[in-house]
Amino acid sequence: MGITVKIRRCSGHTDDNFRFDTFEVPLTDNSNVLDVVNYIQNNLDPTLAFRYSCRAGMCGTCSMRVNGKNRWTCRSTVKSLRSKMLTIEPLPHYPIIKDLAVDMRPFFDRYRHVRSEFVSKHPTSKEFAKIQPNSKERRDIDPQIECITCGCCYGECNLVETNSGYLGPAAINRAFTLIADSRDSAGEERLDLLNSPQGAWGCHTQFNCTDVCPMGISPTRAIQKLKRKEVGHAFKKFFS
Amino acid sequence: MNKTQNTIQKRGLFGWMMQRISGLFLAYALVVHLWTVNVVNQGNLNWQTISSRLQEGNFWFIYYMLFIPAVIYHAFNGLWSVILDFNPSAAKQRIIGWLFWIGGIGLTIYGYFGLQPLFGILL
Ligand code: HEM
Ligand code: SF4
Ligand code: SF4
Ligand code: FES
Repeated sequence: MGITVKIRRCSGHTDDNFRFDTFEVPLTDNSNVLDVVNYIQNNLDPTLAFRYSCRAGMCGTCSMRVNGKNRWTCRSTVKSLRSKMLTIEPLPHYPIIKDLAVDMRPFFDRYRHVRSEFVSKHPTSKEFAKIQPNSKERRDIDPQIECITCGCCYGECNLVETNSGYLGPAAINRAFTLIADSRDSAGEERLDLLNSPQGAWGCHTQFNCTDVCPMGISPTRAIQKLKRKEVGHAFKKFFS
Repeated sequence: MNKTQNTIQKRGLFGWMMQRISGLFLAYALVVHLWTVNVVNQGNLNWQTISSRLQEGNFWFIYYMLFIPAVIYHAFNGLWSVILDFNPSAAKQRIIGWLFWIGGIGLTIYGYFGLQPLFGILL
């Protein structure tokens, strides 16, 4: 059992002379895409560059574009792709370092820009905050919190492609989880920041991010909820 | 970021909200429009029937006075949001913004002008 693999190669983001190299790779029943590129590097071409670390779907570093869709390669079995051929490319919208390894700075710069850290309202308090599991707050936040910052969504969003300043799905999703969190004190600051064409209003609910998120998160949902919060916040500010 | 820049309008909230409000109105107005033109007046669309309907009373006058600017506002505001997706410079935004306002107001006046005789109003 084997598969033909086409890989997009280039020596950096200034290198317009990219090429596709083709390899024949043997498979086992459970081979995933990361196994495939590892096999190529170990046995066929040691110069192939890519990045990974945990191999268990936790670190979010192994993302690549496989058969036209951004995926976490360590958890994407070749079988599940139902294809006789694999085409592997680096994530779009990121500067390429080499071959399949991309520079994640645009992603993490934006992530930090929205104040992605928790800012406690009562940093010295020893009391537990009591958030009921079935409260609206808990239900709003719960489906959005398992992000592993794999960057797949940012690479898939068309608005990131056209609007170079757009903060992108993961950063806005993260900001939403903190804005909705009653224990956090920087919510208004984030609401002001995201009230912009580079923030909440940049999203046109195309759902590309939701489509590719390996953790099953819908950043689209968070951004829509955020837009409603923005309207409420603006009215509150207007009348106060 | 400059505080005075943070008016609702500049930052996209107003446009987003108005796109939904005008869209909601259009959902209603387009149904009324298509219904009267294609169902109620089917096969009977001519100057006589249209102008007598328009002169029936205030409803149709108010309806068209709102329908025309609503469609034009919604269309240009939609195009504006597409323009913003390309992150244009402030100078380009100013030029395109003015062109859209002039175009939109011009088209609205043109629309009102065309309806005048049907309403039996001649300036
Ligand atoms: C049933 C009536 C309509 C409803 C409910 C409606 C609703 C909407 C909404 C909610 C948006 C915002 C989409 C977004 O921000 O992603 C939008 C965008 C837009 N609409 Fe409408 N609309 C209607 C009719 C029309 C008509 C008649 C026109 C043309 C004259 C039009 C032209 C546009 C344009 C150009 C956009 C921007 C495209 C985009 O944002 O992707 N719409 N509409
Ligand atoms: S839903 Fe919004 S953030 Fe997600 S891919 Fe579409 S435009 Fe981008
Ligand atoms: S939201 Fe999903 S796709 Fe986006 S970075 Fe987080 S885990 Fe990856
Ligand atoms: S290697 Fe860590 S998520 Fe794939």
